Amino acid sequence: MASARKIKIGMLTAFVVLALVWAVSGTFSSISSGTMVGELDQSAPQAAASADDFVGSETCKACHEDQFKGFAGTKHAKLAEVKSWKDKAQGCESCHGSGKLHVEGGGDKSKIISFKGKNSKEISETCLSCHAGKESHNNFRRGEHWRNDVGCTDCHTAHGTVFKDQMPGSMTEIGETNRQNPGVATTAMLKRSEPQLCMSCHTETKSQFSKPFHHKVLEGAMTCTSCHNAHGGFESKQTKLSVGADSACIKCHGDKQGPFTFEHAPLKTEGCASCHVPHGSANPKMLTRSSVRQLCMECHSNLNDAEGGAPQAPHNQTQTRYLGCTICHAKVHGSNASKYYFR
Amino acid sequence: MFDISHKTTSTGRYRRILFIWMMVVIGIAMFAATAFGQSPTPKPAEEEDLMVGGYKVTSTTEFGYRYRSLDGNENKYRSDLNYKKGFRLFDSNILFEADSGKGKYFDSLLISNTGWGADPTGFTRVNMEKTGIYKFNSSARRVKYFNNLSNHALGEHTNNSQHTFGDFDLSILPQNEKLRFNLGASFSRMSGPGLYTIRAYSDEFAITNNVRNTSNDFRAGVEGKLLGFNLGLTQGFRFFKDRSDYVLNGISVGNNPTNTSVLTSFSRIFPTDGRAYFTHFNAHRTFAKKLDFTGQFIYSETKSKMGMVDLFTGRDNSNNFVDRDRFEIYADAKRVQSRGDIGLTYMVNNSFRISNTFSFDRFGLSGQERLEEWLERRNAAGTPLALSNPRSLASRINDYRRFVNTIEGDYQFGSLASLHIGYRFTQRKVSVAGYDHTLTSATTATNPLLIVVNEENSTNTLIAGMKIKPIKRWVIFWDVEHGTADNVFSRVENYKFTNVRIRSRLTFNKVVFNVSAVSKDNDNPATSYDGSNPVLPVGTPFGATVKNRFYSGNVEWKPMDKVQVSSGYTYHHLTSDTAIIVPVATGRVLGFSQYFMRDHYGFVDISVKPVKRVSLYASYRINRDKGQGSRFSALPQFIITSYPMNYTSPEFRAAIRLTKNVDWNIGYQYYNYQDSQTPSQNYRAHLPYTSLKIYFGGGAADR
Repeated sequence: MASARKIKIGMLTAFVVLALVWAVSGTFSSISSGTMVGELDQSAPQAAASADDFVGSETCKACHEDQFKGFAGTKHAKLAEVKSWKDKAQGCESCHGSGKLHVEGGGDKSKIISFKGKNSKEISETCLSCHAGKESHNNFRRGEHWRNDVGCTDCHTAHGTVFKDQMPGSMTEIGETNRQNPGVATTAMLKRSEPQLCMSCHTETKSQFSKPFHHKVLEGAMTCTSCHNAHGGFESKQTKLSVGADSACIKCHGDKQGPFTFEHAPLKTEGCASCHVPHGSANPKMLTRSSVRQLCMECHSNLNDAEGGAPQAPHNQTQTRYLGCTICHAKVHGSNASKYYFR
Repeated sequence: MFDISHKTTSTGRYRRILFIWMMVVIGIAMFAATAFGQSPTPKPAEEEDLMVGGYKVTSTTEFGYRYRSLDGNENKYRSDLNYKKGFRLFDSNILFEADSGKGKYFDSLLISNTGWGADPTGFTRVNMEKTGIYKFNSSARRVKYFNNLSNHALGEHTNNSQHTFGDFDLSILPQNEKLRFNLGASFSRMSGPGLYTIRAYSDEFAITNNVRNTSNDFRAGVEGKLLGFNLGLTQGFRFFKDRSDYVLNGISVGNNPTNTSVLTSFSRIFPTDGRAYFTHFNAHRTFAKKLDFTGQFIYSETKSKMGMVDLFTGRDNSNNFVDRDRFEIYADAKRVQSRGDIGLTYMVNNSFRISNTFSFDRFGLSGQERLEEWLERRNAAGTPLALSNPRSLASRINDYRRFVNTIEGDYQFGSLASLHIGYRFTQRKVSVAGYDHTLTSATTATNPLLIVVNEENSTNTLIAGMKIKPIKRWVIFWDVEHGTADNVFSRVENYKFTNVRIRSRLTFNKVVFNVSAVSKDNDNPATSYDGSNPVLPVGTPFGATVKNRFYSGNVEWKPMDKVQVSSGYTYHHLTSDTAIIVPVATGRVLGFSQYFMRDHYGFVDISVKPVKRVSLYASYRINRDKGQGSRFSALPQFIITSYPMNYTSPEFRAAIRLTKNVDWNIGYQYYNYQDSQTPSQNYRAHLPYTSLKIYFGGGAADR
């Protein structure tokens, strides 16, 4: 594959050139222009504010002690320690804007940016002014959540997670955010721990994860974001890609990655969900049908022979041994040694 | 030892009573010994913080013993749940936070564990961060995977394996806008015995299969900002290895009762090595606060190489003795994939945005196989037959290309409503080419057999949705997608589909109501097109329809500080009706395939703290699928199936505070599974347990 090699060399060259340009352009120094994202004038709502207009979070604490207490433990608060953020608005004023007029006005609410009454997209734009730079967040403006007006603060809390009173929970399903699980939610400043948070809107998924065969999300072994990118992405259902451009399933089910000499076409072209229910099912192997032959024949009825065709007469469906297609066609995901997936 | 037989366990009522009695006695003794010696009034939380080397520590660890008593089908129980009796680390968390917010080596470190010991699923997570310097996230998981179902592959595909896998990701300078580095590694190990089937001499044989595969992934990347663009570049590798084997221990007569084939020995090795690497580049920039641009390009190359050796002895379906039947197969395959995505959003004004997303995906797969067989046989009288030595070559080349473009607009009506509307176009082309060549046969019109398949299709979809806030506390979302979906291989013509989702969320101070309805209609109005199919003339209606409905609601209620109630109900209604061709007797006939799901799922969770030292939790979950009801077919070409079952799981737990640092827990969980399979797979499992939960540091005092 000469062309593939050229692409590889090209990518490598591009990488080296980029790295050099980075180094030459003073990467480690403070840069003040370019994108609007993440700059002081974007994060400070009053565009004309000068450095003297910022009063610092300690001043806010005098009246907003509860918010300050929660905020002080968050990653947002710690940005003050990061060298590259020294010349930017920090703390409360990074989102609420400069507070001098608000303080001088005795707490005049019209002199400070309040998010009460703002819609989800307006709030999200404020968050994206800093958070849009990372690959996982870049497509939020075109994602399912954005489209349906679900904003950042519908799931995250900028002021830090407030722990609820501890209550006992199930011994098999992981519980709600509390001191039993001090970091489950706090690592991403989520309002609640992840499965419960997602299921508070996607209520129907809990029933699927409670079926006899299911991915172990309720048990805590994996999370919704193991497979989905809540911030968008280019895939339908906001699923993640793994190992480059393979489906999220391949990350753990590596033996299905192939490539196989004889690859079952749906594996890569239609995706795993054409045969499996990814969240959970009562059917063995989480199949979309309870009977394997039924699942197979629903496709292998209207295909020509080169595509797999319909089962020939010897597969007499009155005989038990022909009812399970995968007994013979055992390597149904793909085979290196049999075009019929026998071995 | 891997067990493939159906097991029934006796009730063991005496042992259960004894166990519960012991738990109660031990708990009361501990309570008496410790509780009355403690101060009933805890100090404020700040005074109780545990400090270790400048770090505030918050920690809980719960460990204990779970008992298990089982009636019914153990194989099904283990396939579903696989909880064993024994000691178990139920839950453990330890969080170190630098008191000043800034530590020497890390600012925060969280280690979480769940499910180690007698649980099928265990994980450990480590999240460590020093703000501005690095962030480290890792997750290691172990799943004891057991699968032995009599209603799948005649009970001849089973597994008793262990899958251990993990991810380790290190981000250097994570908050630096200008330059960040990412390093990552993942591993996966799967091993264990099982049963699998092989096909030989017009028969199928269940063979012991020892699964042994591993994969290791490595990732390195850089992100940062250059010329106003947020850029990211990641290079990744995966190395895959499969060293599974098949061995027959003893004689197998196979599944076919009408022929003479017997295997007296069988072994298969098929060492497979795979390698994948990928390059992922992404870029993002917002121009003049108006135009948001995101792009990514992924190039990946995946290869695999396999050598397989099969060795049979026994008798074939002509009653000949098979002294040696040896296959040697060598195969390799390569997939090259490149995909690119570009997303643009133009903010016309503060309320109106137009977005366009374009995606291109193409991969090519080429694979080839070389097979040689040496078959040495004697006839029933013992006379040697001529050596058979067939050889063949096969090759396949797949080419897949897909474009997707979505254009949409969203408009914000103040904070009370928003609307979006869009259109998506997809164009896809799939082609398969190759040949099958039997080298030991004469060249004919069908040897080599050339294979050429081309499918091309395009789809159109309309998208619309709205969010409405009738009142401040009430949000309603709905969205619709209507159009065509491409399933080139699954059912050749496009599916016409309509998906509708409606969600409502009503929030008060102490109660939250969620309601949602999801409807998915798929209609495949196909006609038969395969002229070689003798069953149907070309053009005969030959469609498929699938109707999927979810109705779901839940309520979360917190009437007072010490009481939490959560309850919900979901109904899933699925009806699928597909025309199929069914082989019956010596011919093939037109039939249908119908599948039904009528699944009701409900749950209630209640947590209360009636007195300061005692917390209680009770839960009831039920999953009842009524399936196809009374629908039944006596003819083999009319296939009607479902999976009616009843799965209930009540649970109770009491946490008794012995000291400010120690809780004693007792609990009980019951699983009752019933279905209508033959043979029966029903089981009832009793899982009482007791545990101690130990608290250190923050939060221990104000519990």
